[in-house]
Amino acid sequence: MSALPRLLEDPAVSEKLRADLRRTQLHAVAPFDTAAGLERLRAGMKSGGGPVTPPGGGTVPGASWKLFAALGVAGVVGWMLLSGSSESRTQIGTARPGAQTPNAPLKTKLEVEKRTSDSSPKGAPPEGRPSVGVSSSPGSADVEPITAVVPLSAAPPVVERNSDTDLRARDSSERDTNDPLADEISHLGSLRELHQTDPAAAVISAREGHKMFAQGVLFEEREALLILSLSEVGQSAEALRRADAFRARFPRSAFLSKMQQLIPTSKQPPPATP
Amino acid sequence: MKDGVPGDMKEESEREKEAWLSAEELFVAHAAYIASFLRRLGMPASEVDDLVQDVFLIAHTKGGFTPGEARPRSWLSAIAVRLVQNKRRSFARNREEANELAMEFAATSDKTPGERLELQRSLERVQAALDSMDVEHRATFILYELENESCQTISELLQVPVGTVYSRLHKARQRFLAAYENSDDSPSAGLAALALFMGGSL
Repeated sequence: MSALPRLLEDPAVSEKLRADLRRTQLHAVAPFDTAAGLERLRAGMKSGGGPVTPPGGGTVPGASWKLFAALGVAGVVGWMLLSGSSESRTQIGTARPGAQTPNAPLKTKLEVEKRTSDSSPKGAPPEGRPSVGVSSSPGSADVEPITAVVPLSAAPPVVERNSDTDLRARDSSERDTNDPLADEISHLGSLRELHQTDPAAAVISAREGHKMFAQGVLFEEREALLILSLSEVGQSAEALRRADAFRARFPRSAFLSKMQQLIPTSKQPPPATP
Repeated sequence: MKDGVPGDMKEESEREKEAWLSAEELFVAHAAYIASFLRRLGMPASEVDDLVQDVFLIAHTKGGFTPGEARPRSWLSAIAVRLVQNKRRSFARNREEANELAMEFAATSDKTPGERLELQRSLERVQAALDSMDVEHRATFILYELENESCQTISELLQVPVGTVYSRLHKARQRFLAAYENSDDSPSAGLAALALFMGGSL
């Protein structure tokens, strides 16, 4: 489509209107107390989740979605007690490249493992965390399946968490839970950490995030983490499909370079002819 | 001047495009503009401070501004648009509020009282015409006509197809021009008001 001439440049538009638009352009800013706003922003950043590194690198220390994790733990334990599983092995989707293949049988059981705080990633909270995140509605039938299974001996242990302590900590350090934006930001922070420590759980958490924050503003970040996590747990077909859609929707996303490294495009260039 | 933008503004925007900017740097440079943009989108003054904070917290969560095609303040404007859309607000604003807003914009100007009054009237006419549109059309109009972003960039910023941007821009222009022509200050509207006063047509 050819570029439309702007009203300011269109001689068919009255000079009066063009002058008005020009003045509007030049006087686009009303008085604003930047200093006070900046102080408030700094306070908000400190309480809401701490520093965020540029896209493509680093971790996000600080904010963890403790309430979500606590509810998830409760849901998992409750599900296990009710289901009466005969399986004796702890199964966690923590597949790394080279581990289980995508053709491994789907599993719907999610269990919390013990993990020592020493094996926690740099920048993570001092206490350990559950290795999976689940839907905040334990009775829901929409539990996402894990598509990769790792033997118990390979799965790192997890330190049990005190959910009461977590809730109190969250109340004191995080924003109001009635603020959907704060919840979405906090969820993204937790998702970034999960992606680094437990990609299978990150897949589940990201999908839950898409449902819960369907009207939110952080879809791009969440979807990128979902795609990268899918790639890490071996769900290559879905990762590829989503990556293609992501590239079409966000052609200049900062996440594309990392995605290119892990996930090739479905449309491969034709081989060069000699 | 190129593309309707003064030369020095264009140079600065090109430099801005090249650097990664943290949320704090973005705030210092663009918070005042974003506050004004939110007012132009129809948000009342009582809500703007909180919304400005939300815009920059989101920017912080996204890791700051990454250089690309859009200018930083257009990128921030797109975040603001999304926030306003989520609020699902009615954007009805009466003429008195539009006039107050124009006064705020004119207050920054170092002009004589007469020039300031003329400036205020200009801004009132444009703001009243903007107020005739919903947030999607209004944002598209502002980003294209006043911020000189391309339709492709607006498409990426607002995450809608390019065809939708063109469609919205076309409708936005129609509504803007119709509202502008019918504004109280326009000659035709003045004649219509006089005819009404005289009890008949001229």
